[in-house]
Amino acid sequence: METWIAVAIFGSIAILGVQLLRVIRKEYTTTQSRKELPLAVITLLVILGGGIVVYDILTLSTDTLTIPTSGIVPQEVGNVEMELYWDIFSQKPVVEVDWGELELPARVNVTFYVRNTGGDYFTSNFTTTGWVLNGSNSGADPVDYFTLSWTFGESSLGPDRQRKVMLTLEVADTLTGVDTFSFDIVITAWEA
Amino acid sequence: MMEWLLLIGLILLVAYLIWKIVTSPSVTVSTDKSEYAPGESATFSGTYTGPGGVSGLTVNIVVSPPTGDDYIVPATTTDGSGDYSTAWTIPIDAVDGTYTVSVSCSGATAQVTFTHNIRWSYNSMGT
Repeated sequence: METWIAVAIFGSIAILGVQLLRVIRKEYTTTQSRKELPLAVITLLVILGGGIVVYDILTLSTDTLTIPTSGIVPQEVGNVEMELYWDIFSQKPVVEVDWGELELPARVNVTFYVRNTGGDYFTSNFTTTGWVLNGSNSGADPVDYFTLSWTFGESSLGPDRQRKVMLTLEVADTLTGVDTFSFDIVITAWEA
Repeated sequence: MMEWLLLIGLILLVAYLIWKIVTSPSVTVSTDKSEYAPGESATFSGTYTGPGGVSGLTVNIVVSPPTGDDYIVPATTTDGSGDYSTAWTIPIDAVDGTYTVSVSCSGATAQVTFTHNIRWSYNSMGT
C-alpha cells in the first residue's frame, strides 16, 4: 500500500513538475538544448515511476499463499513477568504476527523484543497450537510442511533487560491444496 | 492560466513539505561523560521540541551494549521546557565496548553512544 501512495505522490509531483518546466521554458529559455534537458529528466523520472507500477502489478500476480495472522500467547510460569513488543521502546505490544502472502517455498522472518519486567531471571521457549488449514488439503499435517524457529537461545534474560529475537517461519513447497492457514504461538517463560 | 494554477499547486506542495519538516517533533540526548567505569553513574539528558505541549511527556530510554541484551532504563518525563534528565548506574558486570543510548519521546527518537572500559576504571583508581 505504501508503494502505491509513493507512486501517487511521485506521479502528482512529476505532472506538476512538467507543467512548471513548460512555464519556465516559455518565458526564460532560449536555446534548444536548454529546452530538451529538463524534459529528458522528467521523462526519465516518469519511466522510473512507471517501472515501479509495472513491478508492483507483476508481483501481485504471482502465485501466493495467504496467511492472515498467527496469534501469540505469552505464558508465564511462577513469578516471572514477560512482555513482547515490536519496537525497542516497548510501545507496540505483540499480539499477532502477520505473515503476509507467501510464495512457496517460503521463509519469513519477524523480529520483536522479549522484555523482562519482573525481578527474576527467566528463560523461554515456544510451542505452536490451534493449527487451522483451509483448502482442499485441509487435513494435511502441519509438521510435514511448516517449521518455526527463533533465536532466543539458552541463556536467561535478567530483570530490566530485553532481548531482540527473530522468529522464522518456513513453509515447504510440497504443500498443496492449502489456501490459508493460521496457528497460535505460545511463548512460555519460566524462572531460570 | 492552467499552467499558473499548476505552478501555484507545486509551490503549495513544497511549502507543505517544508512545514512538515519544520514542525516535526524532535528530541535530543547526550551523556555527561563519554566514558564510564563499572558501577559509575551516567546521566542522560536532552530536550524535546515539537508542536503542542512539551511538559510531562514520557521519555523512554534503552541502553544497548555491544553484545547481549538491552538494558531498560526507568522512564522519565519532560519538564515545562521540554528538558529531561535521568541517572543510570552502569552494571558491575557490564561488558567492555561502545554502548548506544536510544531515547523516544512522543514519536521522536535520538541516539548517543558512550564507552564502557573496565581497564580505564582500574587506571583511574591507580591500580
